[in-house]
Amino acid sequence: MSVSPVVLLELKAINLSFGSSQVLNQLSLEVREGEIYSLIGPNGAGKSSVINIINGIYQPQSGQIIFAGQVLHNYKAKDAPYLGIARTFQNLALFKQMSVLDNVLTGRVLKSHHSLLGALLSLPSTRKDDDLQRLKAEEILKLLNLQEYRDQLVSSLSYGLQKRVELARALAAEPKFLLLDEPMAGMNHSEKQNIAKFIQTINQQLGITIFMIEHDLAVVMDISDHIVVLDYGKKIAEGTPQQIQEHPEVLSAYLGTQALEAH
Amino acid sequence: MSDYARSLISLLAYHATARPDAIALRHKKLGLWQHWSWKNLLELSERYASALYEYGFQNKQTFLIVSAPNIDVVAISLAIQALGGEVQLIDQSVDTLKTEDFLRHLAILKPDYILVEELEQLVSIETLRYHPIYIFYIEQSKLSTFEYDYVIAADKLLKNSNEKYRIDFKKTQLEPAQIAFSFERIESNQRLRVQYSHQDLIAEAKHLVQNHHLDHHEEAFVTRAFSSVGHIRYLWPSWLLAGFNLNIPETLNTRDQDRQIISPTLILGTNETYARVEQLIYNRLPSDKWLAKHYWHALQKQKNEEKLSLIDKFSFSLFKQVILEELGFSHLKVALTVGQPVKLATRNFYQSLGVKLHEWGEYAEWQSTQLDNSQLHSLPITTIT
Repeated sequence: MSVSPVVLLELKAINLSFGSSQVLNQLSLEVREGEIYSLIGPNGAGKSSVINIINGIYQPQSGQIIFAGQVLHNYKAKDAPYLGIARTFQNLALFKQMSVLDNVLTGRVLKSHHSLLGALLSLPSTRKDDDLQRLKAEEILKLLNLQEYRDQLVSSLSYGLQKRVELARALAAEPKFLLLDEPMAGMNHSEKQNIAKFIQTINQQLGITIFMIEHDLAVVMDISDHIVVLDYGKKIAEGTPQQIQEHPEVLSAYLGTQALEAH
Repeated sequence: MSDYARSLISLLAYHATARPDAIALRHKKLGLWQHWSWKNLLELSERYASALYEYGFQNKQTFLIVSAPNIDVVAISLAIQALGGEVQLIDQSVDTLKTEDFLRHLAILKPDYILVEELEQLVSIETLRYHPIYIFYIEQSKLSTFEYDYVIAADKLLKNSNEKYRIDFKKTQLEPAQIAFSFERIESNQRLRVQYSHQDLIAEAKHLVQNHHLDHHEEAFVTRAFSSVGHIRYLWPSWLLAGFNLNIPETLNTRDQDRQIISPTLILGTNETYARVEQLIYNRLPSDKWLAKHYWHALQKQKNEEKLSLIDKFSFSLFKQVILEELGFSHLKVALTVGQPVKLATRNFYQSLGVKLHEWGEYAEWQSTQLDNSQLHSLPITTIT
C-alpha cells in the first residue's frame, strides 16, 4: 500500500497525567493514510496511553485529536467504532468458549441491520443480512488463513492463532484505522513472522492504516513505514526505520548501539 | 473409440447433453459448498473459450496455469483445450511455490499465456526479460496496481467478451493426439517435462473406470488437481469419462474437514498422503482411555502382522465406523495410490478399517532437456546472481 500524503490522524500537543505523574508531555504526531506507523519506547514511556487516547479510553487534559479531518470533542471509546477505529489488546480479549467464526461475527455487530422482530420472525431481510455478515466474516477468515479453524473453539487454539483471531475480529468491523497493542507479545519467532506478514497483508490488501506498539524492534524495523520513539512521555525521534537506526539520540538514549548492530 | 470420447472436450459436451442437470463439480468457497451442473460447466467453459479466442489464443499455444483448483480454473483449462491449446502446469503446489521459483519457470517455459490465482504472484514480473501475450489473474489485491496492458483480471475476460465468436464445444473437433496437459519442473540446469495427449488420458481413464467399475455415481475428492501429475493423469479424465462428481476442498489446509463432509467414494493419493491421514487418527486417539489404548495395541499387532485375538478384533469393530467417518472414508469404494507404494504398516492400518489401497498407474516419464546458455541468460536478474 502506498502511503498517501493525507493525514488520517493527528494528535496535537497532548498532555496526559494521572495525579502528579505526567504520562504524556506535549505529544504531537501525524499518521498518514495507508502507513504502518509504529510507536516504540521503553516500558513506562507512555505508549499504551497513546493508544488509549486514540481509542477514546483516556481523555487527555489538553491537546487535540483530529481524525479524518474532524476534531474530536468529548471523544469516548464507544465512538471509536463509528469513526472506523478498531483495536486489539495486549492481553487477548476473545470469547474463548465460542468458535473462531462466531468471534469474528461479533465484530460485525455494527454492520448488521437486525431488528428484534425480524429475528423473531426470521424475515427474508434478516436472513439476507445474516448471509451478508457471514460472507464478510468468511472473507476475513480467508485473508488471515483461518478457514481451517473456523469451527474450533478459540480456547483450543495456540496463543499465536488466538492473536490472529483477535486481529480478524477487529477487521470484521471494516475499520480504516487499526490500533495494535503489542501484537507480538508472548509469541515465538515463527508466530511473530506470521503475524507480521498478516499485518502487512491487512495494510496492503485492505488499505487499512496501522498504528502499532511493539517491543520487537527487528519486526518494527522490517514492516514499518514510520516510527516514533517515545521516552518519558516525550517524542525523542521519528522517521523511517533507516533514520531511526541512525538517530544518535535513539542510539545512545534508548536502543543502545549493540541492539541495532544485532539487527 | 466412441465419437464422444475423442477428447476431454467432447466428453464434457456429451455429459452436458446426456445429463445436463447432474452435478459435475463442487467447490467450497468462503465456507459454502457451491456446485455446477454439466450444463453450467459447459456454458462457462464455452464463454471462456470465446473470450480467450478474442484475446488471440490459438491452436497449439501454451497456457500456464498456476492456481489451486476452482470453477474458473477448471473452465479455463477446458476452454484452452477446446481451442487446441496445451495447459501447462508446474509440478509443485501453489502454496509452496516461491516467487523466485515461479519467475524461473516463467523465464524458461515462456508460455504464451498465463493464469495466476492472485495478482500478488506477479510481483517482480518486470525482472523477466520476456512477457507473455496475456496474463490473467483471478483475485485482485490492492497490493499493486499493474499498469501493464497485458495483465488482465479473469472476470474482465468474460465481461469484455462480446461473444462474437461463439465456441461450441459440441462442434469442436480436436485431434486425439493433441497435447492436453503438460507438467513442468525446473531442476538446476534441467527442464523436466511430461506431456499427456487427449487420447493418452482417455485411454488411462477407460482402463481405470473399467477396472474399478466407476460410474457417474462416484464422488471423487481432488485436492491438488493442478499441481499433481497423478490427479490430472488419472482422476481428471476419469471424471470426464464416467461423468461423476468432482469435489474440490476450500483450501489444502481444510481438506481433511472437507473430505469428512463429502465422504467421497473415490480418492487418489501418494504414500505420503495415506501416511499423513493415518497419523491424523493416531494424534486424535485419547491416550488416557483404556479402550483406546487397547485399540492402539491391536493396531500395532495388525501393523506387525501378528495374530489378533478376539478382543483385538472386537476393538477394531468398535472403532472402525467412527474412524472411517472421522477420515471421511465411510463411503469409500476405491482408494488409489500413485507413485511409491505405501509402507506395509500403513497398508495394514487401512486394511484394519476395511479400506483396500490399490496401486495404480505407472511412474510419470519425465523428459529431460539440458538448459542452454541462452535460456540460462533469460532468467530473471535476481536469480542469476
